[in-house]
Amino acid sequence: MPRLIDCADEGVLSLAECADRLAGRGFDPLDEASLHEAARDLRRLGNDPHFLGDLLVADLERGFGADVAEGGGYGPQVIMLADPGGDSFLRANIWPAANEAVLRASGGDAFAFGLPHDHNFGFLTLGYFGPGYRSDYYTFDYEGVAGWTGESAHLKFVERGGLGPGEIALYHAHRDVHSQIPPEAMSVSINVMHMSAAQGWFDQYAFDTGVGTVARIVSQGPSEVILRMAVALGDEAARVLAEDFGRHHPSDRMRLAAWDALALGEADSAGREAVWRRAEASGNRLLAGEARRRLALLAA
Amino acid sequence: MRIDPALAALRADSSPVAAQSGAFDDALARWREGPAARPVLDDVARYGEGAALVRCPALARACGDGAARFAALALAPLVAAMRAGPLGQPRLVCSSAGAIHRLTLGASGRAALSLALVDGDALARGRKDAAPRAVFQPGDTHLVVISGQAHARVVRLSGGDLRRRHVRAEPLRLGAGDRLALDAGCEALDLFDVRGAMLTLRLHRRATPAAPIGEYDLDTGALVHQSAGNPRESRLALAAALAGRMKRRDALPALARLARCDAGDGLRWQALREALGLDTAQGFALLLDVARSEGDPLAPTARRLADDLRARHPALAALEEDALCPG
Repeated sequence: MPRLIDCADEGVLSLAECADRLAGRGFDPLDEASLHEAARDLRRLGNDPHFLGDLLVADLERGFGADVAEGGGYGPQVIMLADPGGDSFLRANIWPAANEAVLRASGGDAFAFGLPHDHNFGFLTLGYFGPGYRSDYYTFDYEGVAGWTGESAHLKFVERGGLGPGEIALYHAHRDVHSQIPPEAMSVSINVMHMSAAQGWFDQYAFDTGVGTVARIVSQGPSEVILRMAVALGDEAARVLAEDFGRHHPSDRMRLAAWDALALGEADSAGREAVWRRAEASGNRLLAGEARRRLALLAA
Repeated sequence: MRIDPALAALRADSSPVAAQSGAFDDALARWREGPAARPVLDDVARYGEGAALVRCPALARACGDGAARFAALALAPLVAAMRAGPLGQPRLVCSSAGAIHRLTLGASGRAALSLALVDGDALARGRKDAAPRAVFQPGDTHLVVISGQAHARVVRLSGGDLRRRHVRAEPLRLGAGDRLALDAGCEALDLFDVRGAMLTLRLHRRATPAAPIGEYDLDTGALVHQSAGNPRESRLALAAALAGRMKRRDALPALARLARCDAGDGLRWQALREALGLDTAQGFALLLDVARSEGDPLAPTARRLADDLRARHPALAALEEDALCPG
């Protein structure tokens, strides 16, 4: 489960100072020195109880009609605190309590509550405001799963816990799984997120903790969608590329997308069955597992 | 996940991904500036500002007879970039959820132009597991089928109240070239028998002022899920709530303006409630102002809340008198 970082410091950094320090120094969650320096900067940012409220008031004053770029691709609960720089970025997350009108209206899914998942990036998180959300924590062996839907993930339940006010924790990429529960009162966490150009090729999963299986790969990229669409459109170059990617791409997720594209390009179920039989025979665990599942569904 | 040696090497040096993604973005930029896309994307901008579709001829063509060619010319250079750089990922908004894959090709103002691919087998499985639902997103939707065939129905909501509407359905068959124009606040397309896959091009312009997006159970007409019609509204509603919890009284003037602006009722009501929580006098005055506003959709709710508060806190009557007779 996440590792609590002991990091007492009374100093204060402004948001700009904290962002500059992180961008200048970089953040590597696997390097102890880097980890502790980033944690200390996060602590110092968190020691200012007013900065986030100042940002909120400024945004409210901009009003509804303002032309404001929202979220950086995230939902409304995420506040990007600084432009991404180098190998990290800073963000704040708002976690509404169960009795908040915004949660009742939108539902828990909109705030990632009740959706067990891992992360394909490591990150530090600070309990900045409020009692903090709680989570059911699990661990799993990332390289031990292939990632097909329904595959046993051998999740190990660790505990139900939370990030209390002022606490800092490190979430380990590809190891810590959590299912978040709304806090007792509205809360905010601030994250230092590690980012790498390559992280998108390391799969992130959603899990079904009721039966302990992989529910789906959640880190699909645009190229997988493009390939499916181009093959469906009848683009011959795309079909040839899908045949190649299905066998040789370094990412098994892309190999699966390629076979899916080829199957979607077939007009009838017999054609799709033939595609999935070829995938099943490929010798690749993800493809074989997913192909068996698709063939069973076709036969049902 | 099986970590291929080629991916493992990226942990030490991710520059190949950055380089190939950069090449992908270059291909995307060339397409955007090229003759096939530029006029269409310029029209998306005009349409997103409120222009009629008839005054956006390139966009109208792309959403009609020109859809297949537009999609082909968009996807071909991206496929070429994938072949040249298998580890690249372009900067495009996409989603894959259940049976539907979406790719946004252009967005500006209130408008978005997207490709959507429906996986027929996954769609059929989903319909076996749960009652059909549809999302009603106020605004105009134009849809053209590029490839594939389906049995479908146009479902229409009417009457009832927000929580439960009447549902009527009109069956139809769709194939390549077919087009639909939907009043998306009360009409939606429900696909239920897609042969293989169906690829469509979808143009949506959200309504102004923004109205909530509702997801409804098509068997019962029950509201299943609701969200703000404008992402900015959702953000401001959360910001208002958090400012209230943080006891930021300096947010009061902004909250008062939001309670009176032309945003959706959800945001306005959230702002009003937070103002009440931060300052009884100012918040109650704001509540009364809304309660007395002729034609304001929040007025009845505000009146009920004012009556309830007066009954529970008689001292508020004094505040009300002060508001009426400040001198």
